[in-house]
Amino acid sequence: MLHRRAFLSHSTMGLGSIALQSLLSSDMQAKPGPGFGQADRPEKAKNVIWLFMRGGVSHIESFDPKPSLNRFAGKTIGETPFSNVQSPDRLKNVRVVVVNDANGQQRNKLYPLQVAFKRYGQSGLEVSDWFPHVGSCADDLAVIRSMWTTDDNHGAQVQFHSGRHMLDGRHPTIGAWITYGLGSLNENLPQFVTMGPRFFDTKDGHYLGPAYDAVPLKLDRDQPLDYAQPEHSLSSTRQRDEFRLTHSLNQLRRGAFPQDDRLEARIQSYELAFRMQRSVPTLLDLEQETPSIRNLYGLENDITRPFGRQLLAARRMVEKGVRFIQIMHGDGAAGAWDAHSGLKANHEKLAAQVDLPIAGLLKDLKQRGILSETLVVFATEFGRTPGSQNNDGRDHHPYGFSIWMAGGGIQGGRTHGQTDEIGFHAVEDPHYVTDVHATLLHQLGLEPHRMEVPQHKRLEQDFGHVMHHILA
Amino acid sequence: MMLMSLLGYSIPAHSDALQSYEEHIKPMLKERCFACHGSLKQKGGLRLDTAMHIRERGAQEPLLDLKHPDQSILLQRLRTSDMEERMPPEGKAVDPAILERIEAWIAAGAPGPSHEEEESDPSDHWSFHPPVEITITTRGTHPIDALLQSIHEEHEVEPQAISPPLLLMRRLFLDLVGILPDPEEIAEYVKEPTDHHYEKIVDRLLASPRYGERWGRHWMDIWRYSDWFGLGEQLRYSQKHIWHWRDWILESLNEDKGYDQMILEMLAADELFPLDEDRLRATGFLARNYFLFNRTTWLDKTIEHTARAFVGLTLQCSKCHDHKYDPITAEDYYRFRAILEPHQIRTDALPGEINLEKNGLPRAFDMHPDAATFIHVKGDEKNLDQSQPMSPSPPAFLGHIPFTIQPVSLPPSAHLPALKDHVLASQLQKAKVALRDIRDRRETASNQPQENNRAETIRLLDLEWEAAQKKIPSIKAVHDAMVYRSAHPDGFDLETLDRLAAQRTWDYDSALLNWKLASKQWELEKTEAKDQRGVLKQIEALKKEIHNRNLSFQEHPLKYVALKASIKALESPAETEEERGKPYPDTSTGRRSALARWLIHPENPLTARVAVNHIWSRHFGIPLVDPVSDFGRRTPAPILQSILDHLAVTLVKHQWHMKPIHRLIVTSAAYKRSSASHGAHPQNLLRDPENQLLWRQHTKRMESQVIRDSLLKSARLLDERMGGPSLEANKPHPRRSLYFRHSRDDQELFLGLFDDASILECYRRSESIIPQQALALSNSQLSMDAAIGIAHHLGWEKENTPASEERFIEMAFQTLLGLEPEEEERDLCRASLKAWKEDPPLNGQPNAGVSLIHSLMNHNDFITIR
Repeated sequence: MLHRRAFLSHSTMGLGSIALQSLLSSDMQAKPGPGFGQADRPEKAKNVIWLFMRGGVSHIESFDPKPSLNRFAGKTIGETPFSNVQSPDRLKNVRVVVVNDANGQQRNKLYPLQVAFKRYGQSGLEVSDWFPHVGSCADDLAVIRSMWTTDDNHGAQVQFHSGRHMLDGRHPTIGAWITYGLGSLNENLPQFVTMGPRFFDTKDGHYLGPAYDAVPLKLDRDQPLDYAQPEHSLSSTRQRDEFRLTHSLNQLRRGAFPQDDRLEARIQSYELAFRMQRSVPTLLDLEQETPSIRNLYGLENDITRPFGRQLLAARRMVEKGVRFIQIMHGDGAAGAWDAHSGLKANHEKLAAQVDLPIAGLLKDLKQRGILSETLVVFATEFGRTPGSQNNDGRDHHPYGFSIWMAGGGIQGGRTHGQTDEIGFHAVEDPHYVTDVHATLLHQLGLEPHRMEVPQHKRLEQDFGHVMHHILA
Repeated sequence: MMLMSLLGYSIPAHSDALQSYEEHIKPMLKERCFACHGSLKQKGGLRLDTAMHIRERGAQEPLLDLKHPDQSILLQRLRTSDMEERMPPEGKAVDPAILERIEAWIAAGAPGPSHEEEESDPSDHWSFHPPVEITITTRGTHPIDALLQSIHEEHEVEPQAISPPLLLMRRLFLDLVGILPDPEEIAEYVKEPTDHHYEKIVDRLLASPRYGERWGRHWMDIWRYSDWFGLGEQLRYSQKHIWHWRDWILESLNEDKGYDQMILEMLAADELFPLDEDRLRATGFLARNYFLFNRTTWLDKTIEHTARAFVGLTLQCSKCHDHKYDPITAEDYYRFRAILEPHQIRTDALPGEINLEKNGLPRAFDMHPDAATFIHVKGDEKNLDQSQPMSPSPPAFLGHIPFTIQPVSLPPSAHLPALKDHVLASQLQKAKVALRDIRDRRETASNQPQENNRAETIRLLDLEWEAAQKKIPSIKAVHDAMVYRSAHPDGFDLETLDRLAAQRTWDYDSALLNWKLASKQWELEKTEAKDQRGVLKQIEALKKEIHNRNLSFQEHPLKYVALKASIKALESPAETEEERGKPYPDTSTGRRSALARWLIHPENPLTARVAVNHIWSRHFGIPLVDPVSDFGRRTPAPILQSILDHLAVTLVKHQWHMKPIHRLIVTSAAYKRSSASHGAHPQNLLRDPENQLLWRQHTKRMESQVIRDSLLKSARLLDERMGGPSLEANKPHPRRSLYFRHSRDDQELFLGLFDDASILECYRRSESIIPQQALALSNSQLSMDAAIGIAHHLGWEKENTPASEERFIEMAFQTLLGLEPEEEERDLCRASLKAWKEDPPLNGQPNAGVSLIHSLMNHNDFITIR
């Protein structure tokens, strides 16, 4: 039996793993662990929709209002009662990547809030006026106001996904671990999908192997997936015929190599490829949705359409059992939300692109009764400085920032954790980025400490801590 | 019995306690405690590697309280929640179930097995002793097979037969040159499979330039080849033109340069061959680690991958604290860093090009011979222990291998590359091209009609010409002065030459400024009065510049700007241009050449072993020592150590030439065996299901490059030109895949789906099986182009006879799969061909033959090396 496991530890099967699952369960004495599609305990959520705003959303102008900034506007931090926030020992967690960069600096002159806040829902959760539609879903959101990270530059995007600072090499991302831990819900579709403008690190699986890389999908009917359609003029009939021939020839080789797991896996993987090729375009065919649903996601409006289409596709994927759908918003090398100047105009514009579609997604999932098993995460790599940069912008701020989660067994209508009075440090229930990962894994029924493979020791911090407070 | 139940547990029988100790307690102690309390270290005078050590601690306070087991210090320290006190200090607390076992074990008297052995001496590890040559007594047998035979006899397994000739040739070609054979290349052996014919082909393949391309990519994996990336033109990682290093790897392999020589050149060509531009390319090994933003990250990676790649030591584990398994201390880590501390990266001009953005030689050199290295306390780069600078040396436990540092004094043009003849030649060439350009423009202008300001244009061109002409003597004079100064720093003629250089430079500068002024004045004439302000300003600025230039020449009649033919990579974004432009030192510390000599010293027990293990791994799919980059104490002696050692000794005996090692391996029966377990002796599968004893070959999967290159080659589409600048990824270049740009930001999509090398670490390729691979092999333009090419080459015609079709099926199987089709397979192919021929013609639809080939590309045995 050993050779099977040795083979599995060296080869990676991923999507093909379902193919092996039957082989393994009938053949292996040991209980299939992570990687073979079994949860450690009953799950609270089945799928994840991961919305990531690239560039750094201002926490103090989205989900963590700080009226003190208006009161002390124009004063330097040193002149306010909060001068100790900048004491060196409180800043030491941050590891600078770009020494003496123009960005990622302390900004001392406090800058007033550029937007007003309102209370929403029964919970009275405060949400800024840039996100009114998300506000209307307030009773479903758990806002975590006490996130922190250690990279003061946009490498923090990688860090938010992998849990490691960019200088510590490359490590599997949360989507990869979840796919690794749980395997497939649907044999016709990839399990881990990414849409939108991705950050520079285009891989997810890293040492887990390419089987755990997100499959990039585009809302492009001709080529939604790399090589999904022939780049040449092969008719679908002919292609099916070729597939049949290959398949039959491969089957014949089973006789000569009865113990060749890889032959078996490749036969299965080949079948999956062609099922995927058929299913993906249908999956992404948003014309099948009713006008009212399309409206809910803002598909009739030029501003909201691009993001709305991705979210609507995400809902369709959830229904078909895609495990982890990662959607990035904000293009450019650093990410569009990176408002070093002109923050008001920048955030107003970008929020308008995502606000309505996100609310549409939450409402749609809810009305279909699947929000309870779908975890929606709204995140960004860091917040923005309480002080101003270039007069009307804010700089990168890794010491305290906000994200939110909804659905999938998360308690709605609440905040968790706090930053100090000017939104500088996460002071109450601070959470490092891997706490988000731990919470996701927990809700999906996985034990973080089992997310480890031989020869790749993980640090305690990599596993994170479940945010029990926000669980329903 | 009463007492026992009162205590809440039952005292196990001695034998149960012993079993509990051996099966549960000791493995936990080994995993969690031995690193500090075993043979490697005995912190607090304590060792826990035998039950006797645990029971008896000499005069110190006993660890165990046999009467009140739960009062034992051992248990208290394991149980406490006070993190200052708790053991082990890192990681999770020990599982309570184990703690209960320990308690019960203590209650039973803490028994250990009789003659329990202490953990072995850390330096007494198999790989830390030099390989010893084993005398092979079986005459006439291949040494690998002789060694393997005795192992097989000992373990009672029966080796498989030799592979069928066709399949063996496919394996041999893919392994040695990375492309499929054409039928005619292997016909001789297939017809008559003798050793003689086999060896002829082996020799031919090893002599082929394709060998360097195949094995070059392997070594590029291990040595982490990466093209540069950055933001826009800003260089952040690796180096521009790093492909020169790739070409050096390929050429070195093809000429079978010794591996020892390769190590010398990669780590220290700048000290050993300071003027040899071909060899300097080798230091791309170091240049590739360049990282703009963080010097410590840069050096950490260089340390880690120098140690892992060449000696299989996981030095990186001792960056923050002493190594947990191997006798390597944190001090050792920073001593190793001190070897590398002085070095930096620069780009020197190469013959024919002075624009270093266009081409140049990225290379290592010692910029800061006096830079001190301090220990980073707990690996924290912000917390240096400045009490004592670290002196450069390799790990102390291998201190018996000589490590001698000898500073190297560099010839002038090594530290002042502008002195090189080719720099002068390219500068003059550039000046001549400029002159030619002016002449051409003047000719064009003189053919213009009068009314187009012809006279004025020509007048300005003549001024430009006058200046450009003065460029040539100025270059020559400056070069002369520089050369003279480097040879005679206090020379008698120095002043004369400097004066001449300054004069010529001034001649040129003033002519140039004169032309610029004239141009501006003419522009002013053409400009309407109301728009003249801007131009007037520029004229004023120029006049001022002319004045200043004249003044500076009067005041400093010996001063001129030296020629430049090299640029140092920024040491950090904060480095100023002034710092960056400082002269390069005229001596090198000699530290890196000392390291290289240490690595290749005959007494170094690791280097040759690690090298042959890398090679073996790529011929057999699995290495002899696994993992290939850790030969430390966590890795037990390999079952086939005799083979490893034999190869290591042989490598050194052959002056480290690698081709004889390949030859030795691929001519062994072990290599040639069938990889099928079909028909094997039943006890093989029972005794050695994983084939660790090599009773058969292993099945491998083609690497990404091999797939693409083989498709192109078999379709006659492969462009065999070698070397040169990296090709833009995801553009259809029909050249071998290793020439594509390969960096964080540039990766070939097709290659990426088949486990391409990670630029960060790739000691072995993984072999994934994912559906996108099937999609790529079926839907890519590459696969279709290749299918058309192959079908055409194999003779598929518009009209085929049944006999020619039969022949086509055979050839297709032979070419793509290395197999003779069985009857059932023939039937399936015949049926498909028949159906496809009857398909109604569709625009662009491939013919039946192409479809057959296209189907076979997705056959499992295409991508598989059987």
